[in-house]
Amino acid sequence: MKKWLLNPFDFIAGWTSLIAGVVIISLTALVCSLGSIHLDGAIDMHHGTEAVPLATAFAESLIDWLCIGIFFYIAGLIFSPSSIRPLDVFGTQALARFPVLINAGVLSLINAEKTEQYIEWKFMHKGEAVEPSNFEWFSWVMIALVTIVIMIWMIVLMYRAYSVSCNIRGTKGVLSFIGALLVAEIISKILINFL
Amino acid sequence: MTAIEKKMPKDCPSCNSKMKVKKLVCTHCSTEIDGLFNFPILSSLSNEDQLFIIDFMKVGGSLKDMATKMKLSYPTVRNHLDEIIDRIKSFDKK
Repeated sequence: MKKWLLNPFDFIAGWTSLIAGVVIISLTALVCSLGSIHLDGAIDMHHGTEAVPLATAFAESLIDWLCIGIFFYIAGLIFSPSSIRPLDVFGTQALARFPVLINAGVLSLINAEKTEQYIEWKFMHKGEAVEPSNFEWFSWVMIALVTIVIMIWMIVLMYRAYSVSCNIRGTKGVLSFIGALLVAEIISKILINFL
Repeated sequence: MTAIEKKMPKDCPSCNSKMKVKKLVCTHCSTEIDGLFNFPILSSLSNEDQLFIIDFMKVGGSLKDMATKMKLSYPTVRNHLDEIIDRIKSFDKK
């Protein structure tokens, strides 16, 4: 069970992971559109107040995944001692986005809008003054905690996917993973800005 | 009584150096050959790696078929094969 949660890529890669991953990415876009959530960066997720059109949500999901796949594949070509397949890199990275779907579901179901408005008003001097109840504060804290745990899970899955599909481990693996992820994050943010 | 599967020691239990073959015996006519022979490179691999190589040969060298047989993903099997190749290369250097 632990292996399937943290490293399913020992068992799944190639076409199976790509098809499953594309289904996950499509479902994530649908949930994000319904729940007013923006995936405005490779590892970013923000809950908005305005509706997110399905096409925008789908484009954001696709840009995030493609940026991650492209830059991890380039890192693999540079650092891997093996002959790697783009199918494995893109497929496993698509599957590694499963936690985003869960997180989008959690954010859509639990409403912490009032607390977010209060934080914006208090710290960013935007919007109107609102007073969240204790329950709303509790919901917001719970969402924040769940989001942190899920995002850590996603990063672990992304690293395992990169490590297995590109056969890179150890210090070289961690450093090249961080580098490729940062580049993917920056480029995806720039591209999503054009939407 | 169950037969014990003997494992051929490849490293000296005393000084850890690589062992060599000193004597060969024909179990049919008891002819003995004395000398000093090297182990084949593949026998220097672990039993697990040797079985992997044999299975890999049996499926015609197809990583895809090997992955199906082992119920593992293609890159996992490819990584395992690359590790074995690295080990064989390190034996060559020695």
